[in-house]
Amino acid sequence: MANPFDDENGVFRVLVNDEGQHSLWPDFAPVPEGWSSVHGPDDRAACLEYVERNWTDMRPRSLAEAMRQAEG
Amino acid sequence: MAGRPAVEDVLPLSPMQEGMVFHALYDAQGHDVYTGQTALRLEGPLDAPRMSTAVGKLLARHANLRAAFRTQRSGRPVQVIRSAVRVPWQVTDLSALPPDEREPAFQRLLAEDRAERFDLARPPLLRFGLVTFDDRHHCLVISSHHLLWDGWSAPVLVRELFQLYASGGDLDALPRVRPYRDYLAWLARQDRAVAERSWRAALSGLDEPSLIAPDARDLPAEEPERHAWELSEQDTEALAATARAHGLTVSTVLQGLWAILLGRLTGRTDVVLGATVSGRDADVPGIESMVGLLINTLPVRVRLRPAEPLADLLTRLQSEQSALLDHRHLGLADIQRATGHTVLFDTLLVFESYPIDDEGIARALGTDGPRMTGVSVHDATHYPLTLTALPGARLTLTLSHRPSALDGPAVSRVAAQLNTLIGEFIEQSTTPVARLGLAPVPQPVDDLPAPDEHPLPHPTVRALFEGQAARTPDAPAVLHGDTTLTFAELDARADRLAAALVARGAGPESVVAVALNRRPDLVTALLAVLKAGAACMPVDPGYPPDRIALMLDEAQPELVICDPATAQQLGIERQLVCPPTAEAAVPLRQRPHLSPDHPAYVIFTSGSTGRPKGVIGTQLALANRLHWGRELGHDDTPDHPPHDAPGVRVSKSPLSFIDGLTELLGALVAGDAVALADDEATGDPTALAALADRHRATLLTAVPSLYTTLVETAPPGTFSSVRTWISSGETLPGELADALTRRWPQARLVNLYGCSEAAGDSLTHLHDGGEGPVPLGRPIAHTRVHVLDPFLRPSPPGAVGELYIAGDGLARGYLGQPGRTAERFVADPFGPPGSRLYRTGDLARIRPDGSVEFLGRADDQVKIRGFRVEPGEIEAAIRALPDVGRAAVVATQGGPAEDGSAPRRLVAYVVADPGAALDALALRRALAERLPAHLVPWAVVILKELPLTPSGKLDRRALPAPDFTETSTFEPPRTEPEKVLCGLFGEVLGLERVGIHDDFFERGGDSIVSVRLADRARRAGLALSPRDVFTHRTPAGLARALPDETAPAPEEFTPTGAPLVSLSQSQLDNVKARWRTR
Repeated sequence: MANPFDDENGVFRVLVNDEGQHSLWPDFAPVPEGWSSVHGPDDRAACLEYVERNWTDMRPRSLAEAMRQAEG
Repeated sequence: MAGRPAVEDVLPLSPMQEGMVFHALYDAQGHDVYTGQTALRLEGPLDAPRMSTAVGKLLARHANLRAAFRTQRSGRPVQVIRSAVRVPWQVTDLSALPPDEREPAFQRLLAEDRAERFDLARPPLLRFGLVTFDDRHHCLVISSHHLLWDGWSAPVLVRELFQLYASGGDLDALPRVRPYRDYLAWLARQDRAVAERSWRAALSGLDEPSLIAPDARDLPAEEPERHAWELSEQDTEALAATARAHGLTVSTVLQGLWAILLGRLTGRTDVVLGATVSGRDADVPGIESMVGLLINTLPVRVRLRPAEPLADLLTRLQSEQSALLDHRHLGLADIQRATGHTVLFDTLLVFESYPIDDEGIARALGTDGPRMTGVSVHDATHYPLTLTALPGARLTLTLSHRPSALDGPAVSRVAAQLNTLIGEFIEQSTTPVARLGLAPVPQPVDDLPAPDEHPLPHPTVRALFEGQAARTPDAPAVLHGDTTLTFAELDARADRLAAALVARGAGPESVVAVALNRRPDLVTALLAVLKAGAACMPVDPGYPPDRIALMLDEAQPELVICDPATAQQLGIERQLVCPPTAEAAVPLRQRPHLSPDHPAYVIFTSGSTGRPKGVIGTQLALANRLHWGRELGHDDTPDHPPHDAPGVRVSKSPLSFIDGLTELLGALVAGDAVALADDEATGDPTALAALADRHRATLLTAVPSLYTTLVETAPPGTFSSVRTWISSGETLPGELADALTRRWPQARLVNLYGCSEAAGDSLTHLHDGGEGPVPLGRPIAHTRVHVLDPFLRPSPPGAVGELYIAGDGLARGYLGQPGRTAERFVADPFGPPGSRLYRTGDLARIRPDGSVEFLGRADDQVKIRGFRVEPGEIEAAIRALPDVGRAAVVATQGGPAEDGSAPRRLVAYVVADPGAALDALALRRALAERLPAHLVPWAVVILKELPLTPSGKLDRRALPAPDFTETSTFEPPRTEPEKVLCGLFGEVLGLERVGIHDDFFERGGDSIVSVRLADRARRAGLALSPRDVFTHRTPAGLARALPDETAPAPEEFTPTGAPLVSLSQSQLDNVKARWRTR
């Protein structure tokens, strides 16, 4: 069975949520609530490249923020 | 043969007739679904003898209504036209009955009539009945085999019948007849090679059929049930108008919408449905007034593209279909043959565009004759689901379904979905295909009753453990040999080591590797890492050093807890090493704050690319899994009184896997003691039994392969203290689950499903003795699961989809691999805003009871010739054979192939019981006697042992490839019937050599050829039906299925005095050539 996320020829977006977490997302599907598109529509490889380049801290944003404040 | 009327003509069959002959012969005893019945209600004076005369003249006029269907010695079916036949005509007078009993009596008559089969060899395949209710109310009942005429012919037939009635049977009053044989002659003139090429192009790249009820064809034929509804006049007009606006026919619109629905039902994006075409567009003069079976059932392939607007899909579909217009004369069997498929679809769409010529009939009956006041038609198909559309001011839609294949509620859901799609086409025809039909579809998984969702008392692992240690400080926590540590002792030791770890830099967001053997030190170390707020990364010191180096390089741990010998052996830098006995110079005063979002573990899983993936799991995820797991040790079923005493859980799973971690820590947060198995003992049933008995273990986790061993080889009386077995890691076969609970009735069996990406376990099922593989069950606490189709919509109940997990168990992602994380942990359209879904890559479906059933890996589907095969079922059958210890069945690509592409074949790997010897051929023979042929492994390979992965699962990649040369499986016939059958297989399939286990369909047979095989077998004195060929499939299987006393072969049919086929020589050659190519 074809999974839409594995479709090498598919058109994708990159979504980001408030925690800065990134998600590959097939362009045909509506963007789920709480996520916004930051890249695309583009091909799969380009979207993943965007993620590799931009998601450099995989900690949830709220956690990173709290840690920064704790360090003062 | 005195008295047999002369044969007037012998004709070939149309492709559709061949298909129906197959279905009629397939099961000669059962219900023949192609027996049709038309009831014409007539009001007014009626002259019964005159109607009888008209009926006789109708048969005199249409030669093809006098046809019988026979198979020649050559195996070729023909229709034999008799010059005259006696027409069954029965008059029933119901007027003596009280008025209110007449209609029920009539309905009984109709039902009895429908149940009466026609014998294809005895013409005519029709009968007429006239039922009189009173002087003015009558019903003419015409029953016939569908072989004689189709729905498009019916209005012509009825009109002519009434014209003959009106004229007193004067044939000259009708225009010259358009004989059916003109159509057959036209068929024979068509260029088959060109048509085959077109169909090959139309179906190229199609990898499997679209079946909604794959098992249905093994079920006996049955009378379908119907679900009919009408669109409103307004909707009917809007549908037609929208279709017109896009240049589409309503028929194309329905085909496209049906394809979308089929995609949802099958979980496929490349679907095929069957569609019936009228055949009236053939270039034959007067074809529109012809009476006969001209329709054809053809595949309609639709590739669904998620982003394509609906109207564009339909336009594309119409244009793809128009390319096939000139090639619709080819039969389905020929198309399947040309494209290498044995089956393409099991749903049918019939768009009945033929008009009922009420006016013509009224004209024919004139003013003094009766009036036709109603027509009811009863016909059926053998398909599990047929959609019939009847145009009119209100479009009538009927779903006919075989009740054993699809139940009423399922069909109602299909109807509702179709209605929604029609509405969407009318309202918003530019909607992308993937967004259609979203609103009304139930989301069954969301409706699963979740377990009581109590909030976690502590969202970190250390808090859970410390809470437990404070509650039961003196209870035993760790059992190893003669050593026992209490919770208080363990807590104190872990605190000391934690202080040392913090002093050396460990803390939240850092990773500490633990490379220790399974000793009390290991437990202390894991807890210490978690107390320090770091993520623990268990490393099995027995792993290959290269693999460990790769993991350490990837994870870059802050520290590695190991003893000096291990450090040296693994070449770990001195400054990273922390011995398990380390203590801080000063005790830890304040621990760093720990958030539930901080990592708790790093576990490596093998990646498909070869590079291991490190999963970073959160504190919340692991704490949630461990806290939920407390209930695993408690049996609250009525048969078992609750145990308040703490239990003992065995730790034996390798620590490098998530199950090792949850098993060990799960005991401690539940207040149970953990009994540590020596690493050498983990796979040895005797050592494991000794450990469990020594410590009175109450809970044990293992993979099914180990349970198989325990059931077979554990010494009597062992494991008597176990109250809970936990199975995880592989599919749990039902028969193993039963064997386990039979052998240890005091213990319950829990099946867990999960992965490192979601803290180990997400679904749970308490084995209840149900049939088949044990399901995965329902979500654990704070967890949701979804089964989604390729367009990311919830799959309907029962339909195959991919399993997705959401909730607290989700990991942060893959260490240092944001791209990979973003493609596996994806936005969740069903959860709270901004939440994520993990896609497992596993196929699953929702059972009617709401539990989730595992169907294999998405990238490793086991399908043989379109049939989904459950290897576990075959493995169970193999293990049931004498002297067999272990068995594994896999689908492998390879071996001989007729068309160049290697087909998937089943290969069985078998290990003998200790001291026993096995013979591969004998095993295969034994299996052929126990399993349906498509489940019999193509090859059996005997192994000394099954290769296992480090986690104890079957290592598929390490299995040797079987010898795919034909000689390894060819087995010559042993008995006379087998010899005859092997010879007949060879004849009808055009093969030189056939072994007794060769599968008819695998070697190129199809439904039409099965008729020929059965026929030849009968002539050779072996009583077999085409159904037997389908069921038993191999010479050996068929020989076994033979009745003890084989009936004598029926008399040979030899026509008297008439040429066999009175077509021209070239036409005859054409026909002959056609048969030869089969």
